[in-house]
Amino acid sequence: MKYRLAAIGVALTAAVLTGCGGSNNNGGGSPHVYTQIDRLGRPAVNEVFATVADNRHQINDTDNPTDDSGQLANDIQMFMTTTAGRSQKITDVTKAVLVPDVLVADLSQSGPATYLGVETGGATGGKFGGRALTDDIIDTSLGVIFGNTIPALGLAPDDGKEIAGLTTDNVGDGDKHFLAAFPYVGPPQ
Amino acid sequence: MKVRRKTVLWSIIAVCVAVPTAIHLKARASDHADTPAIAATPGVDLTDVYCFPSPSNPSNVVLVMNVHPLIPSGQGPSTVFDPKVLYQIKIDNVGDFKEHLTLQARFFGTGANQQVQIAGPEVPTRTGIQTVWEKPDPVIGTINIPFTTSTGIKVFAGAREDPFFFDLEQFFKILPDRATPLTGTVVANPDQPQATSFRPVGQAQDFLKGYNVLSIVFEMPKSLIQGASTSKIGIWATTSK
Repeated sequence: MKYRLAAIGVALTAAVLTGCGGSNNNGGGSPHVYTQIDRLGRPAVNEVFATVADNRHQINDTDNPTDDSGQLANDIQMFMTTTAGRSQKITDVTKAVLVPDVLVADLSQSGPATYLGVETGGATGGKFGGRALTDDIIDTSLGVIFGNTIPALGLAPDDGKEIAGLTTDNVGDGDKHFLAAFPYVGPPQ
Repeated sequence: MKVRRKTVLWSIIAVCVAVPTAIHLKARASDHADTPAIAATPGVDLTDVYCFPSPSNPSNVVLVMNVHPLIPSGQGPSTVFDPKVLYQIKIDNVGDFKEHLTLQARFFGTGANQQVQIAGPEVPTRTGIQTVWEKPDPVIGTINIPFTTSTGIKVFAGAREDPFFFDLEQFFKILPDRATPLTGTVVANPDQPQATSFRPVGQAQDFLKGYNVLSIVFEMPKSLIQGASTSKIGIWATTSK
C-alpha cells in the first residue's frame, strides 16, 4: 500500500509539472509567462466611464496604469462632457483625480481608510485614503460625476449641471456582515 | 524541507484526485446569473480592491482583492479559485504608477481542499501585462482557512459575502450599455436610458445582497510595502493566465 501510494505520488508529480496543476517555475526550463486579463484599481471607474461598446472596457482591463492617460482619460472625457453633460473644468478635475487608475493610500497616516482621501487632501473623511469595506464609493463617485462635489471642494466652478436623481443610489451597507477581526470581509451567505 | 516536500506531494495528490469532483460541481453551478464569457472563466473577473489600516494593529495594513462575482447563496464553500490564474496585487511605492512590488497568489487543485501559495511582496522580475510567478513563500495554505506565511503575512483566501453594495439593477436601466457583460447579450438600445434616476429609499435594492465572491485578504506590517522615498502607495489588482 505504502509503495503504491509513493508510485502514484511520483506519477502525479510528473503530471503536475507537465500541466495538471498548471505551470510551475520550479519544473525546469522557462517559467510560464502569464498575460493580463483583468485589472482593477479604483472601484466603479472603468465600469462607469468606459463603454462596453467598442471594447473600451476590455482595452482598459488589459493594459497598465501608465496607459490610462491615453486611454481611460479619453473615456472619462467622453462620458463627463456628453453623457453627464458636465463642464470641461469639472471634467479636467475628474481626470486629474482618477487617472491613472490606482487605489492610493498614505501609510504614514493613522485613522480610518476613506476612498479618495489622499487625492482630496482628506475631504472625504481621512488622509489614509485607500478604501474601507464600509465606504459608500458609489455615492462618492456619483457625487463627483453628477453632483456638486468638485465645485463644493473649490476645485472647479459650479456648472449648474447637477442631476439630483443621480447623486446617490440610496443603498447603504446595511445588508452586509463585516467582521471586526481578520479576515474582516463577512462570511459567505 | 523534508516536511515541506511531503506537504507539496500530498497537495499534488489532492489536486489530481479532486479534479472529477470539481467538474461535477462546475456543471451543477451553471445556473449562475453570469455572462457566458464570464461564466466560462469567472475566476479571472475582478470585482473589488480594498486597502485599510488593520483595526487590531495600527502598524499593519490590510489588502483585499475579490474575484468571481455573483456566487449564489449557499454555493460559496463549493466555489474555488482558478488554478490556471495568477492573482496579483501590484504596488507602486515610488510614485511613477509602475509596480515596484508584487504580491501574488496561486492555487493548486480544484477541490474543496484547494491549496494556496503566496509570493511577495517582492520586486517582480517582469512588470506590465506579462508577468511570472515569483519566488513563493514555503508555507502552503488551504482555501477558507486563515494561515500565516513564513514572513508573517496573515492570509485568507476563500468564499466571502460580496462586500460591494449598489443598486446595479437600476444603474443598468440608467446606463443600458453597461448591462451587456452581465446579461451576456448585447443590449438592444445601449444608449437609450430606461430610467433617469435612482430609486428612492425603500425601493432601492442592494443588488449584491446574498451573493458571494472569492476573497484574497492579506494583513501585513506596513513596512513590508512602504517605499524609501514616500509613504504613499498606489495599488491595483490583476488576474493573468
